[in-house]
Amino acid sequence: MFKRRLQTKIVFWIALILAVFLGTSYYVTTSRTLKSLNEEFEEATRGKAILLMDAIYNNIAQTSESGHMRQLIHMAELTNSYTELKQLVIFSQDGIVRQSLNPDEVGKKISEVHYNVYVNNEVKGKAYDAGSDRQFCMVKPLFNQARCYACHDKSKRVLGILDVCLNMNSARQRMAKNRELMRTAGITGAGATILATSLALALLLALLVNRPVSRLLKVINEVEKGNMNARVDSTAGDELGVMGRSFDSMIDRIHKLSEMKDDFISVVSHELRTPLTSIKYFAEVMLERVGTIDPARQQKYLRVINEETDRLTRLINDLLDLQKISAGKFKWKLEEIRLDQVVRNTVQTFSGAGLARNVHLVSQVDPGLPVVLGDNDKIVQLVANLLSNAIKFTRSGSKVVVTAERGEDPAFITDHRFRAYIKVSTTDEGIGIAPENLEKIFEKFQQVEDHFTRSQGGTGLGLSICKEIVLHHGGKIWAESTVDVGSTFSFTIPYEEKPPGVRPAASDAAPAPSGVVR
Amino acid sequence: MTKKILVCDDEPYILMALTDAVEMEGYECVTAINGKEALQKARETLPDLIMLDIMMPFMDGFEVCRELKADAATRDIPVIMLTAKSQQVDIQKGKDAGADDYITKPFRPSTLRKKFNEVLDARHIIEEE
Repeated sequence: MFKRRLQTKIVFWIALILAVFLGTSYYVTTSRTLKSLNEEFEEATRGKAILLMDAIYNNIAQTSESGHMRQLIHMAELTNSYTELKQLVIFSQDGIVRQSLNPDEVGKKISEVHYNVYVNNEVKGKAYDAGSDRQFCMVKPLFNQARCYACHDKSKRVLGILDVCLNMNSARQRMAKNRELMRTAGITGAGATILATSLALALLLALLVNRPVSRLLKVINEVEKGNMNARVDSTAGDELGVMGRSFDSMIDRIHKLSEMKDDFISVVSHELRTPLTSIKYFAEVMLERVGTIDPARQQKYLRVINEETDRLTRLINDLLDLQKISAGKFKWKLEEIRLDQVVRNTVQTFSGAGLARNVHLVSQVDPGLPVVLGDNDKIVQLVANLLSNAIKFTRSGSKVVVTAERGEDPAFITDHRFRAYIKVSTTDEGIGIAPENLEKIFEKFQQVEDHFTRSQGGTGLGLSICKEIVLHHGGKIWAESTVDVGSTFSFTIPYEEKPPGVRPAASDAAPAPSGVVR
Repeated sequence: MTKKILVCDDEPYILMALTDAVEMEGYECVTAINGKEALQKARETLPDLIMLDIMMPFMDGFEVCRELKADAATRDIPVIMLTAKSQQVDIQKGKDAGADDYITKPFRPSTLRKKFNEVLDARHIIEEE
């Protein structure tokens, strides 16, 4: 599983890095210890050599007298260094061995190392490798002095050089043994400690990473199972915390989209069901009464069916338009629009519907309105939508006023390349809209359960299209309302001002300042 | 005396369909185009049966139903709600508001007629007793 793998990886790499680091530092420390041990041992050997040489030196008179090196050996035994005594020689300044433990060497040349120790005045002696052995050599000149006069003349000179050579092998073996021991102990003991420490640290670090990751994974699983209320709720400021919060807001967005989808289905199914109900009823009634139905009644019913199928077609077109506009795929036309004419024509078209509801339609169009650029069909649809809503919501026997005027307030323009606009408003004398719903009603399929939209009988779709159309043209759409008095829906379409002198052709239409359609 | 049915829907053609069904059965039809009008006409004419749409401007069907059931003068008039088939929530809300029955849209003429007769005959029997 993902979680295991991540944790394993982290533990492995951190443990490896730590082990290498700790191992290296252990090795460095150990070898440093071994080196100092070496030095210590050389120091000890030197001490022994000095002791031995001093003992010999102090007794040199007797030994020389007897001329017997055995005496010297005895002295060596006294210093407890005999076992390590490799060579005991007295050589003359010319480097010729005069006396030696090994009688064969007498008369031969002393080895160069030993001679150099004397010549170079290396008073501390010298450790050196002789074949597989490591030896320590120390020399001491024997000066002619009072106790020597028994045999020698009284001249000031060096009588010979005492040369002691100790074998360091046994010590080296001990050292090697120690080193071996340290190594084994290091690998088992220190190695185990290093490994344990590394693993513990790595686990700790892995947990730090793993905990938020596991939490995120758990929430992802919850969401996958369909629980849209699951949230990471991370408070950490690190990347994982940010990731958690991003995930949360993503789920919020999906949640909202899914609610919008539900609202959409609700709105659309209502819009579909209404015409279908009339169609179904009248079609079945006519089937029931075939041959007996009054022809005038039949014509009336068929007309209903015909109109309602048109309404279904419009609904489907609206849906497709809205989908295309939202996806930015709608092919907008760009043509000259006479908004005054659009308003007047739409009022004309709806006069029948107004009559049916006993509603006066009043249009008040300012004279000489300029031409705007845009999609004529969509603007017509926009005005028609607002007008049909107003007719639907105004009280029976009241009036609906449609106005069109010029304006220059930048607050009513969304595309700020423009400065002037034409504002079209429809005012009804209906029950009005609660202030908190004034903006909501333009949102896409929003709040179907809300009292206002429900009692609107599904205008959600129409107003969303209106908003999309107005925004495309760079204008603004809004509603103002006083509860129990009425509502005014307004939109603006900005236009480019022509230089003075080039007046728009307003005269050829010669519009009346206002018109009343009853 | 001819029985009176009040039908209420904000869609003119659905209202036309309801009127057709009522008149075909020989009952007297009273129409209302929104909730407020329905409430007002119910109080004025005291019909024998009320058909209420749910989504209407000014006052939705549930509110109208609640007001009718709270008023002693109209409390005993049977109320049938017009709902969408898929909206179980609406059926429950209607019951809570005191509605006596419901019919789902789209409806068949025969369903409407059957429902009218069912409710009105039952009332007729109760009144005779």
